[in-house]
Amino acid sequence: MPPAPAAENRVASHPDFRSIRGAHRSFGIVALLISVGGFLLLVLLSGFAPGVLNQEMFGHVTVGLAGGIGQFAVMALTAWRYTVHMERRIDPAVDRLRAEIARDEAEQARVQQARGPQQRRFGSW
Amino acid sequence: MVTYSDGRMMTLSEGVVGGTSLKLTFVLFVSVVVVSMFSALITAPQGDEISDFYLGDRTMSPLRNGLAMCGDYLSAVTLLGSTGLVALTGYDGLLYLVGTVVAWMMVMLLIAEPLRNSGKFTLGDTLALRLPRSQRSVRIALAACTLIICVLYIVAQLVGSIALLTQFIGEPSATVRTMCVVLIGTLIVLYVALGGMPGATFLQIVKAVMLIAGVAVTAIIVLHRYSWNIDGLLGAAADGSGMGQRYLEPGLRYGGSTTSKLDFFSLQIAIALGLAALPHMTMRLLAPRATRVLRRSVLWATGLVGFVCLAAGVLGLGATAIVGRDSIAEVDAKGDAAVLLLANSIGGAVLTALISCLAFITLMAVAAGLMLAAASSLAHDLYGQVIRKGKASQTEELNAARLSAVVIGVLGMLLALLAWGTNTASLGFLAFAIAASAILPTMIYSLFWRRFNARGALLSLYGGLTTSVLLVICSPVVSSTPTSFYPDADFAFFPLQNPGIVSVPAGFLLGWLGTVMSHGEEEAADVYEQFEVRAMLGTGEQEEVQQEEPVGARQ
Repeated sequence: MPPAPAAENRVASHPDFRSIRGAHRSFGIVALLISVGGFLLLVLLSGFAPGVLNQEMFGHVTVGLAGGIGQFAVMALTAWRYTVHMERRIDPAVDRLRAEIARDEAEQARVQQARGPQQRRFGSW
Repeated sequence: MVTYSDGRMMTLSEGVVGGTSLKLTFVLFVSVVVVSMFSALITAPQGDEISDFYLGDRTMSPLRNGLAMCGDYLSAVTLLGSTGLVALTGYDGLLYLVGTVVAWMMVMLLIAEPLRNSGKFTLGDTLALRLPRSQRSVRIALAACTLIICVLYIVAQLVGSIALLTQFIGEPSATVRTMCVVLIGTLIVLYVALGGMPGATFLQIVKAVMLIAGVAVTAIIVLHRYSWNIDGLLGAAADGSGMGQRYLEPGLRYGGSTTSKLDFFSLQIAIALGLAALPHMTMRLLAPRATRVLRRSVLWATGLVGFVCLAAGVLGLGATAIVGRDSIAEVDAKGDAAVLLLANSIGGAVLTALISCLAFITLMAVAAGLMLAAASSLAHDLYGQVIRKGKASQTEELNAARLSAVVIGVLGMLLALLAWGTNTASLGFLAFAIAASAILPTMIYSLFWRRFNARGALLSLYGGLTTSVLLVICSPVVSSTPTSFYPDADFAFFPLQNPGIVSVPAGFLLGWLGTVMSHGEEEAADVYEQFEVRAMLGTGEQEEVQQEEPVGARQ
C-alpha cells in the first residue's frame, strides 16, 4: 500500500510539535549542563585547584565535600523540575497531537475502506 | 599472612569472614538462588512469544521497574569497589560515587523517553527506524559493540566473584577458582536462557531490594554510632585513616602527577557518559509500555540510586572510622573488603552474611542483565534481521537467543579464567569507555540530529570501538608496569589507563565527520521527521494497544 504522506509527517511541521520539541531539547541541554557539567567542573577543580576546595566551612566539612553533597541536591532538584516541566509543558501538547494523529489515521482508514473494494474489483480478473 | 608448613602462603589467612557467617552466607545465597530460579522458570516466556523474552512483563508498576533499573545500574563495583575506594582515599572515592549518580541524569534527561518511544526490542531497532536504508550494516556494527562491551563486563563480574570468594576462604586454588566461575556462570546462563527478561527482572528486583535494605541497615548503624552527626563521622574517619584532614582533601588516589589527574578525569567522563549507554540499560528502558510509566520508573530509580550512593559513602567513611584504613588495606590493597570488614565489626555474623550474599547476587544479576542484552542483540539484530532478513519465525529467534546466551556464557567463563590475576577493574572501565565513545554518539546523533546518516553511524561505532580498544592496548594497562598483562614488554605510548578523554570526543567527531563527508547517502527527507514525531509522541504501530493502557498506572 503506497503510503500517502503519513499523519506523523504532517504533525512534524505542526507549530505545537515544533514548540514542544524545542522546549524538550532546551530543557534537557540546560539541565544536563548544570548537573553533568557542574560535576566535571568539580572533578577538574579537585585535580587542578585543590586549594579552592580545601577551605573549611564548618568542622571537617570542606568546600569540596559540600560540593559533592550539593550534587545530590542538584540531582533531586533537576528530577523535580524535569517532572514538572514534562507534566505542565510537554504532556498536554503530546496528548493533543496524538489525538490528532489518531483522528487522521482513522480518517485515512475510512477513505481507504471506501476506496478499497473498487480497486480490488479491477485487479481481480 | 599465614605460612603453611609446606610453604604455601595464604595472602588472606582465613579470609575476613568467620565460619558461622560463611555457613550463613551459603544458606542465604542458596535460598535466594533457588527462589529466584523457580520464579524464573515459572515466569519464563510461555510458548514462543519473543517479545516476552526480550522485554518481559510490560505492565509492571513504576516502583518495580525502578527497582529493576536500579538493580541493573548498580553493580558490585558500587557496593564493594566504590565503598572501598571511599574507605581508602576519602574525598577521591566520594567523588567517584557522585559520578555514578550524575551519570544517571544523562539517562533521565535525554535518553529514556525518546528511546522508549522509538524503540522496539533492541537499540538496533531504533537505529533501523532512523536509518532504514543501511540498517543491516548498522545493526552489525551495533551488535559487535554490544557483544564486546557485554563480554568485557561479564568477565569483570566473574573475576569479581573469585575475588569475593577470596574474602571467605583465602587465596583460592585453581580448582576452586574454576568451580566458582563455572558455577556462577552456569547459573547466569540458566537465568537468561530459560527465564529471559522476566527471569532477569525478578533477579534484579530481589537484588535491588536486598541492596537497598542492606546498605540502609548498615548505614543506619554507622550513623547511629556517631549519633547522626556527619561532622563526627568525618572526623572519626579522618582519624581512622591516620592521615588527618588530608583524607578529606582531593588527591589521595589521583593526586600527584598531571597524568594521574587526567586519568581520573578521563575515567569520570567514561563513567558519566558510558553508564547511560550500556546495552542492558537501554534494553531495560524499552520495557515499560507507556511513556509515563517509564518516567515514574526512572524517577523511582533516580531516588533509589541516589540513596544507595549516599549510603555507600557513609559505609566507606564508617569502615575507615571503625575498622581503620590500615586494616582494610592490609586485607585487600584495593579496599574491596571494606564493607565486609565493617559489617563484621558492627553487625557480627548475620550482617556479614547478608552483605556478602548480596554481593554475590549483585554480581550475578548484573551479569545476567548484560548477557540478556548481548543475547538479544545477537539473536534479534544479527540472526533475525541481518542473516534471516526478518523472516525468522519467533521460535527460531527465541532458540537463537537461548543459544547465544550459552555461547556468551561459555566465552565469558573461559576469558574470566584466563584473566584471573590481572588488572580486571580496567576491563569494566574499558567497557564504559566503549559504551561512551561508540554507542552514545550514535544514540545521541540519531535521536537529535536531522542530517545524521549511516556512514556517520558506522564511523562512530567502529571508530569509537577501535579508538578505545587501541588506546587501552597502548596504555600501561597492557604493558610496561608490574601490574600489566605483559609487564616485560613496553609499548605503552598512551600514558593514561582510561581512554575516555580521547575516545569519547573521537567517537563524536567521527560520527560528525562521516555524516558531513558523505554525499548521496541521506535518508529520505521524511524518515527523520517521522522518527522525531515517534520519539516525541510515542506513536507507532506497536503503540496501538498502549492507548488503552491506563496512563496514570502509578505503582
